[in-house]
Amino acid sequence: MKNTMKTLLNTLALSIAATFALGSTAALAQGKPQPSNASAYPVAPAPGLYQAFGEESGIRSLMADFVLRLRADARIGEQFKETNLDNLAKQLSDQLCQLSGGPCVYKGPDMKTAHSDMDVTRAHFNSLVEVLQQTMAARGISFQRQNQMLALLAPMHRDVVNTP
Amino acid sequence: MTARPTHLARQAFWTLLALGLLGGAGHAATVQVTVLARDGKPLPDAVVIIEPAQTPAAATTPTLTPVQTHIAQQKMQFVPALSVVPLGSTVVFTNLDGWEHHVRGISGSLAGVSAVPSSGFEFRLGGRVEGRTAESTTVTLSQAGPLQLGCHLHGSMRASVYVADSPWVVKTSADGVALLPNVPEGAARVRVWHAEQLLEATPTAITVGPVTTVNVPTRITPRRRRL
Repeated sequence: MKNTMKTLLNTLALSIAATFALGSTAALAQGKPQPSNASAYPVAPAPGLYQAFGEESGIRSLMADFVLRLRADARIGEQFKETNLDNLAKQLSDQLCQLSGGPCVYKGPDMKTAHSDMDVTRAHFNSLVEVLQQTMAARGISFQRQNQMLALLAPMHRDVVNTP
Repeated sequence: MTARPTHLARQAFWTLLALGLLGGAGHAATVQVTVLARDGKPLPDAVVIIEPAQTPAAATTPTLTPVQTHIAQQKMQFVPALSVVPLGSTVVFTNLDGWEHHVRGISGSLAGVSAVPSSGFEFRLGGRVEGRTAESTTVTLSQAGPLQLGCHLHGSMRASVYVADSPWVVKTSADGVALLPNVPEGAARVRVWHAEQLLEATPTAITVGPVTTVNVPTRITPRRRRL
């Protein structure tokens, strides 16, 4: 029952995220985001998103917490067994900082390449989204802002999920 | 009194001839080894090592000439995943990716477990910048045996170099076959080394003749690489 609720919530969050993604394509005229290694499916960030996350330092501490939660997660922790968590936190921070409108530049691999040596299923992807939601909630980020961030990341499932 | 040494010499002559005919001593053959994975399919990127039972005369042993080989870091992988080089060879590591990589080399079969600080190396290669030469570092391999490569930043990146101290060390091709030329005829052992093998299996005893083909089944399951 608890799991069903979680899945439902998760699906809901992704749908909201996708809606936001579609909605913001209308705002492309302002600052047309270009495809990059940070995201092959760039979406204009909601105004004030970067600030709402506490700018660069806020995003860095969020990601430091996030990678620890990922490693500890019963469903996807194994996937990060060999991962250099400090490096992962740095790359994710650069990526989210850039995508949310911050001045950072993500210099890591594109999402397809970054996951090429892992078997990532849709369930893995959804679990990661859930852990990210928990991490954002733990830092007091509003539900609306959480979904605005997820909207930037949701389209990446096309490159990240590589295993049926 | 003078006849006795002549007799001995004649006997020695016939004995040597018989040995030569039976054991093929002094002759060399090409040995074809097919290595099979746990599921019975041909196993590529396995190292086949043939150890003749008797140390052949230096004159008949092909000499080991060090070479220079290249290993690239490309799209989050070491390319190639396995290199076999003679002792004393050099490896040029080049990072072709646009982001930073590290190269960590540890001698021994189980990277991490048998790690001894003095038996390895570690360095950083910055990401490639358009219009500039990719960063590279050259390493000389002076310890025989397997060398496991890893990246400090990306745990899934793995590769190996097998440093050979004999001429009879060859890696299997995509069809699981290793061809070893100039192997002395006679008794020998075949050893197989593979990066995913935790413990080396008991060597296979063979007799090298003019035509020698061997199948070596193993319990190895290769890691899947997605390209």
